[in-house]
Amino acid sequence: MTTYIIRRLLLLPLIILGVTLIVFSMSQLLGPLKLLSTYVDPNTYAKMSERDIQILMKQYGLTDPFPVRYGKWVKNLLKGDLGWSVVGKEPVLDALIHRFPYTIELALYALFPIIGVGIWLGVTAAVHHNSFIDQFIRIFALIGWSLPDFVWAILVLLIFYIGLGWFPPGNLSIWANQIVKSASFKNYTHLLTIDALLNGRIDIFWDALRHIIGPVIAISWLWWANLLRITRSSMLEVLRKDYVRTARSKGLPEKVVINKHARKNALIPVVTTAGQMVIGLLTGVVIVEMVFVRTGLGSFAATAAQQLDYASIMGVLLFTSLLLIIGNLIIDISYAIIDPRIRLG
Amino acid sequence: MSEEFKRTLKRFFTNPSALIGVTILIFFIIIAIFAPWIAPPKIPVNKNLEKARNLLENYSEENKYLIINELKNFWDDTYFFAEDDYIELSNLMETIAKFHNKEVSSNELKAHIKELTDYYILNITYYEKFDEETNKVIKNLKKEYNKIEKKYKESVISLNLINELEKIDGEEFVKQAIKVVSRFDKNFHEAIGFNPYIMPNVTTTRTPIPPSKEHPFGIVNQKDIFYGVIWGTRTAFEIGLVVVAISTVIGLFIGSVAAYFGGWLEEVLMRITDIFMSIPFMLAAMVLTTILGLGIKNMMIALIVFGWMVTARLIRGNILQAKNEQYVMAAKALGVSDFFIIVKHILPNTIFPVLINATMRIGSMVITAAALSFLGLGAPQGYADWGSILSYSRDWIIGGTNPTQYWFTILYPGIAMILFVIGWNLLGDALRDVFDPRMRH
Repeated sequence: MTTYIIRRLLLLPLIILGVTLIVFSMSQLLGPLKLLSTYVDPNTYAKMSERDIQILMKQYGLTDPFPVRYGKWVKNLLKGDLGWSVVGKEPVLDALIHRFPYTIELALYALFPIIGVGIWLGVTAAVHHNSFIDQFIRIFALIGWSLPDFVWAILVLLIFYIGLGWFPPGNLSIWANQIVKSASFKNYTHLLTIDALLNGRIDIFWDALRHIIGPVIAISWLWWANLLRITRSSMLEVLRKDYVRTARSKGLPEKVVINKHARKNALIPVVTTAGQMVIGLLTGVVIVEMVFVRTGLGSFAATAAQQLDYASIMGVLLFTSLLLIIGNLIIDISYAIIDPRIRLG
Repeated sequence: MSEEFKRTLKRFFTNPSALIGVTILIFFIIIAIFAPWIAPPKIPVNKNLEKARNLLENYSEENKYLIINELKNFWDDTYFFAEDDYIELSNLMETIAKFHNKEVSSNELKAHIKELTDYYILNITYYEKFDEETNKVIKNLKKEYNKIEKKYKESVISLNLINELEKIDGEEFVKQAIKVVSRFDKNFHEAIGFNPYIMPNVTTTRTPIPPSKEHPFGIVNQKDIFYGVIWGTRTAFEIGLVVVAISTVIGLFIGSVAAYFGGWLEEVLMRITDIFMSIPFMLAAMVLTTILGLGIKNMMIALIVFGWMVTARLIRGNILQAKNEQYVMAAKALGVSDFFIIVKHILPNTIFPVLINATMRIGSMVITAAALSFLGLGAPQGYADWGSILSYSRDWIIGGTNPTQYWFTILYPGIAMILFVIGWNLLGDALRDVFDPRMRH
C-alpha cells in the first residue's frame, strides 16, 4: 500500500500541472483581443485605435509565444495572483476565500441527512429485496436520479417558501444580516450558524438554519438516489456471501446478522460514493445556490460566467479542481486503508 | 449465438423497466419527428406575393397574364439591381486581387469602395473601417460578393422560370406558377433568417397567460409553451445523442489505444484522462461554453471535451480484463488469429458495458445541458429548449405573489424533461440487467 500512496503522491504535481495547462489553454482560446479587453476598462477600450491596441498587447505580453505566457501566468499563480474579479469587486483569490465558507457550511449540513437517510434506504431496500418496500424505494431512487436539480429546487422553493413560508432563500434575513455585518459580531469560523452560537445569538442561529434547510432538501434527493443504489446493490451482494449464511445457520437473530455482519462490509463501496458526494458538494452546487440566491462558489461561478468575468471563472475552476484532486487522493488512500483486499493486493 | 441473442431479446422484452423506458422514448421520438405537424411553425408570409397567390387559387384563363405580371413585378422589386450589383462587385474583386498583387495601392482600392458605397451597393462602414481593419473589411467584402453572386444566379433562374410560364396554359401553368411562388417564399425565408427552432412571440404582454384552447400549455414571456415543449424534444434528442455519441467514440478511441499499445503511450493517455477528470464537469462545461461564446453548438463542444473520460477508463479496464480471461488465453494457445479473438471474444465483452454506460449518460447529459441553458449559458434567447423555458418560469414563480398562479410554466416543460430522462435511465438500467453476466442465472 505504501508504494500505492507514494505513486499517487508523485503523480499529484503532474496532475496539478496538467490542470493548470488545460485551464490556461482554455483562457487562451479567447484570443489576444478579448484577453486585452479583460485588462482594460471597456470605455477606454472602445476609444483605442489599432496602434494603441498593438502597443498595449506588447505591454501585457499577449503577443509572446505560448510557453512564455504560460510561465508568467504560473508565476503569478504561485504568488496567489489570480487577477481581478469584476463580479466580486476584489481580487479573485479573496473572492474565493470569502465565498468558500458558505459552500462548506451548506455541504456540512447536507452531509448528515444525505448519508444517514441514503444508507438507511439502501439497506432497507436490500433487506426487503423484491418486496413492495424495495420497489417503492427503487422508484423513489429513479425519480431522484432523473429529476433535474433546477426543477426540484424551484419546487422546493415553491412549496416551502412561497407556499408554507418556512425556508426562505438567501443566506440570512435582513435584520440578521445587519447584526452579522456589524462590528460587535465576531467571525471565528466564518460559518454563520457556528459563529452565531459562539456569539451567543440563538436567534441568528435559527435564522441561518432556516435559510439552509431549503437548499439541503433540494440537494438531497439526487444524492439519496445515488447512495441508496450503491448501498442496495452492495448489500445484496454481501447478503449472498458465505459468512452471512454461516452467521444465519449459527442461529443468530436476523437483526444481528444484518447490523453486525452484513452492513459493515456492505458500506465499503459506499465510502467512495460518500467521498465523491463531499467533493461534489464542495466544488460548487451551482444550480441550488443560484435558485436559492445563496453566496458560495457555485453561484459565484455562474454569475461570473453570465457577466463574462473571465478571471473569476478561471479562478473558480482552478480552485475547485484543486479541491477535487486532493479530495480524490484522500478517498483513494482511505479506501485502501479500509478495504484489506486492496491493501494486500 | 442466435439462441443466445434470442434469449437476450426475450429477457429484455420481459423486463418491465425496459418496456416502460422504450415506450416513453418511442413517444418522444414520435413527437420529435412529427413536431412540424403537432406544433406547426408560424411561417412568415411574403405580403408582396399575396395577390399572385389569390389569383392562382381562383385560376382562370384571363388571369394568366395578370399572374405573370404580378410575378414579374415581384421579380423587379427583388432582383432589379442584382445584375448591376454583381458586375460592380466583380470589378471590385478584381481590384482587390490586384491589390494583393501590389498592382493597386490601398488608396485606389479605398476609392473604389467609396464609389460603391456612394451608389448604396455597399454599406458605408466598409469605407469607414477600411484603414483600421483592412484585412477584416476585405474578408467581409468577399462574403458580400458571394452573397450577391448567389442572388444574381437566383435572379437569372427565376426570370427564366417566369418566362417559361408564358408558353404554357391550364393546369400545367398553375403547377409551375405555384412552384415559382414557393421558390420566392423560400428565398424570402432565407433572407430574413427564419428558423422554426426560434419560438415566435404570440402575445404583447410578458406576463404568463394560463392554458387556453389555442395555447394548451399556456404562454410565458410571450412564447407558446406547447410549441417550445414540442420543438424542445428535438433539441433534447440532438444534444443528448450527439454529445454522448461523439464523446463515447473519443473515449473508445483513447481507451482502446491505451489498452492495445500499452507501455508509455498507455501511461500518457491515462494520465491525460486523469487530468481531465480532475476538473469538475459542470463548472468546466460552464467555463468552456462561456469562453467559446454562448449557443447550442458551443455548449455541445464543451460537454464533449469534458465528457469522454469515463468511457476511456471503462473500455481500457474491460479490454485489459478480457485479455487475461482464460477463454481468451485458451483461444490464443489454440492459435486463433488476433483479429478473430478481438471480434469474437474481446469486443462483445467490452463494447456492451460502454453502450450501456452511454445510454445511461444521455439522461444526465440532457440535464446538464438544460442546467446550462437555465443559467442563461446555453441555448440563445427564444430557442426552443426545455431548460430555457424553465428559466423563464423561475422568474415568474419566485417573483409571483400567488404560488399556484403560474404553475403551468414549470409543469409542462418540467414533466417533459423528467419523463425524457426517466426513459433513458430505465432503458440503461434494463440493458445493464440484461447484459450483465452476473445477472444470468
